[in-house]
Amino acid sequence: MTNDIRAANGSDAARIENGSKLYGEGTARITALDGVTEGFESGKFTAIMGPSGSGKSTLLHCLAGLDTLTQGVVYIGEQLLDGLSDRELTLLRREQIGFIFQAYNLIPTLTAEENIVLPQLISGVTPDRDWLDQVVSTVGIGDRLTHRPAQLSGGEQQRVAAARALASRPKIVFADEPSGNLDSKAGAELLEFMRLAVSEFGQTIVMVTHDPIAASYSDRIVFLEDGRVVDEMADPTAERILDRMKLLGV
Amino acid sequence: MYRTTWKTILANKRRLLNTFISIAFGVAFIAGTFIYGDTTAKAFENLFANAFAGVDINVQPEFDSELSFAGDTVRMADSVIEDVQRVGGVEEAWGSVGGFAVIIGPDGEQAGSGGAPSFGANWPDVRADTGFDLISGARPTGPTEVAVDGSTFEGEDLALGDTLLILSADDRREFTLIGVVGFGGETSIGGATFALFDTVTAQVFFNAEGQVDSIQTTVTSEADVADVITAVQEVVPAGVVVTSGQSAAEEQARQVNDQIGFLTTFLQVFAFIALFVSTFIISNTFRIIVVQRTRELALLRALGATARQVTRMVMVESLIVGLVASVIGVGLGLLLAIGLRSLLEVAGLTLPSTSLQLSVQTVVIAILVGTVVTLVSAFIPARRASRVAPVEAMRIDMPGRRGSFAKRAFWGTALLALGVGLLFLGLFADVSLPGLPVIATVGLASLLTVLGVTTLSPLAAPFLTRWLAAPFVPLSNITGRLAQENSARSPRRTAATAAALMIGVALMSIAAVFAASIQGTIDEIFDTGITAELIAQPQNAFSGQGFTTAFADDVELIPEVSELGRFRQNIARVNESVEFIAAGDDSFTNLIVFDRVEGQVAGLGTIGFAVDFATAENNEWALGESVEFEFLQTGVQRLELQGLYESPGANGVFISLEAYEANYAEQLDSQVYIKLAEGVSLDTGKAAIAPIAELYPTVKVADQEELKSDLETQTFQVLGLIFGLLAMALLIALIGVANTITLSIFERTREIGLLRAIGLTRRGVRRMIRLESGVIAAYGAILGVALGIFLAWALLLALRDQGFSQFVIPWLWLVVGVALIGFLGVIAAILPARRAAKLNVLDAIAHE
Repeated sequence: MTNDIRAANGSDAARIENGSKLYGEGTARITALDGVTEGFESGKFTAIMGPSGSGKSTLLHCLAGLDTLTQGVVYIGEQLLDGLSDRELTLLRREQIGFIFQAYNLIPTLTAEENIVLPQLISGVTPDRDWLDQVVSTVGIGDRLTHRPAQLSGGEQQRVAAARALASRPKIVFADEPSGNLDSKAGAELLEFMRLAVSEFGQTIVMVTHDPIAASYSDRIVFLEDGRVVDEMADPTAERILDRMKLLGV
Repeated sequence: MYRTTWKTILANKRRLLNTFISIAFGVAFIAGTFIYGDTTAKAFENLFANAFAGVDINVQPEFDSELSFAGDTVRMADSVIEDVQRVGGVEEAWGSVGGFAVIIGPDGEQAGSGGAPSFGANWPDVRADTGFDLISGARPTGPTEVAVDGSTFEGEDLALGDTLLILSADDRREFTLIGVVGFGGETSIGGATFALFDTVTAQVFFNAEGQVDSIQTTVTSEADVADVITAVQEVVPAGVVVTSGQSAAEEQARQVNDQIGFLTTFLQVFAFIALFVSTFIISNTFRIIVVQRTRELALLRALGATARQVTRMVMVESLIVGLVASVIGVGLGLLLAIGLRSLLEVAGLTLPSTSLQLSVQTVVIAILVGTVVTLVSAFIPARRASRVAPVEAMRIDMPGRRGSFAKRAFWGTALLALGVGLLFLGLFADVSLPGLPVIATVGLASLLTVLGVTTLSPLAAPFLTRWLAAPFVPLSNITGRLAQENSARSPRRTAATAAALMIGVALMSIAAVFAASIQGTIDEIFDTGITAELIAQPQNAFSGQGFTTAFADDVELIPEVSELGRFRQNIARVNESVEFIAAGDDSFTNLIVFDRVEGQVAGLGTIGFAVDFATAENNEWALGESVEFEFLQTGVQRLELQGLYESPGANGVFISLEAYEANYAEQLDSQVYIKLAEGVSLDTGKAAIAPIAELYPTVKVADQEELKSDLETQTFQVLGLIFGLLAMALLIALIGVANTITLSIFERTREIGLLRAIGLTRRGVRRMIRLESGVIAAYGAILGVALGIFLAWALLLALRDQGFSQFVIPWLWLVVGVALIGFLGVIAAILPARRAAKLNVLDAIAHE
């Protein structure tokens, strides 16, 4: 398949080419990704949907450099991830990728502000103050900056995590069920902010979710089943997503 | 319910590993001291059994061994041999006489290791086996012949026919080496040097003309030993005991083993300290494991397990861990016994050895102690496990049970106040708890103080650890800050981990402060207490009580010396306890400084004695009081208290040289104080004495500065030994640090995963964890140093009367020590940090 590799499309923030991921050996072998080729356009909010076990989280992890493909390649911008050392991958994540996980997103011993600038603190660079203020005010946690995570509500914690993901102006933000642990109001606030980050700041976000309402905040949805891209949908609404999901037999 | 126990232990094996090691090490130390003690005791038994092999009956004057100092014995007339020989059934009777005999090698230096004693004895001219075997050459006969032990012969590269200079207590002679002797297959007895002469030569050489130390006999084949013993008892003088050779061997082995019994006790104290330290680690581990398994335990409770069943389940786990670790510990103990032997040899204590003796008693005690300690340490965590509410099974977050701040502050302060209060009462008011001696009260008070500090420590830990980590924060981006926060995060765990370290460090600090203070006191004594410029003393502390008086006689004659004081030392029973007795001539009292004297310290004659004010006060003696003394040679004597004194250079009971000569057999100078004549420089004086000193190789003449540094070396040798013995406690505590770090990494797996995901490198993770570990270790070390300084200060204050006039804190040592232990904490975390850095990011984030 290697001859099939072409340079990443200039407008894609992330791209996977012919990506396959296999777990286990022999009869216990599971194919999590099966020849996926997909680009994630810069400045867009893309959602990845699919039933449990469809490989959506694996796809996200491989795109983010947290996991490696069995076959195929991943680009972040122009950068080919294949063959990077652990240290190079770590630096890439620190500088070019933002993360929002479902839970346990913050370091409990650090204040909200320290959590937001953590990637910069790790690399020892001074955060861009103006940008930071803008992010913090947009996310609406300006008055909670000196609090520790334990003193924040779940919604606030996730918004701090979202602010952290944006603070370093990464090339792309990956979110794994970011609203999964939140009530509908807090979830809506978080998704609203993510939507804003894309449309106002031109951020690129790729989000894995199984929630049609969450997915409806995106520009485009990629549907996965059995490790293969089976469909996609532009400018989705919750109703259309639900219909499509029924069609796909989810 | 218990069917899962073994599986739980296996599943937790990484978490339990460090606990396992610390129990095993603690038990190994206990077992090691027992094995070492038993082995040494067995070696002495073999030694004496060999010495008495072939001896059917032993005849020896009875004496009070408590009053025997540096090998003093009571002798009897050698005419008794003939009386014994005439008894029916006695086949052959011979006498034995011995003493200290220093062999000077061809290089002019004393032969042997310097640590072991130098013995001399007669080789009886009899047919019977006397325990000596001729390896080569011939038996010595006549006044100029000597045989030496095989080890000395080889070690000094001697040849038969060599001329050897040999010194006894108060004689020096040249002998021709005629034979090499072995002892039942061994070439040496515990590293001691041995010189053997014929009987008459030995009697003269050891200042025992017409006397012997003991008589041995064989009996004819048809005679009954018991009957012959009874018959011999009839003919010997009063006070002479007749026993079988075998029981004499056992008795002498028992006496020696009693004398070195303190050594085993001393070692055991350190072994129990090490085990005590490991209780913190055991308890910490089980507490953490219980917290980490809260959900599992809660599920069991929800499914119907009773609280008691949950407690019992944890206890059974600890029982199995304790038992298995203890068994392994006993095995390690065998290795450790060898290590202890080497350590003591380095510190100058060479004792005979034989194959390692592992008694059933040792095995039982060690396993029992290890298992019980584990069970006791796990009990509180096990109780806590039972209090896990079933509902906690449903909770997502791990519960961090927090005790009340105020409650802890109250109990900690109360314990500390009680400990310190009791300490001062015990030390200064001699108040003790009913039924406890003062020393036990002081011990209990120290323990309460330690517990008080341990209880309060979690309150101080967050602040102190943050403060300790602060210097590293600016150096290392965010990792320093994360480490700082992490070390302050679980104050109780940090405090418990640090407490284990604190104990070892506190004891080391006490020893260090004592060593520095002793050194300060010694300096003080020389600087202000002694006006003599030069002091002569034995080259080797094991070559006897001192050296021949002929040395002082010779030195006194040279014109460069203006005054010469003789000082001797022995022991006697005074007021029912055995005390050191110092004796000096009037010149000696002129050469040391007395700050205050009531009555007199010179001219005490044969009936007077003097004592320092504090000792007089403790014994409630007043001037003119008649006090009972019991001496080895002369029995009970009454001496009159004629003088009270206070001197930086001396303390204790002091008698005149005349009284010493009247009551002790051997007349040897322990020290000779030399004051140079006016206008004679130190160098000129030393040069003038040097040719005389050369004639007495066992004497060392030194000026005050040289003596100070000699004593410093000795002090630090002892300090080194104590540090070596505390090293085990320190090692276990450091394993505890690694343990805590491993367990908190386990708890923080998701956090580490997150940090890695958002861009912390592996190196960053390692650095963060190592720094956290170093900070926890340094925190323990600081608490230990503070506690050690305080306890040493209190003890030294209480010991002022005993001559500890100075309190010196070796700050440099202590600061370096804290830094070093912090560094060791960093080292201890290397492996856990490496494992944490290797965590798979995705697995870590998904970790529960």
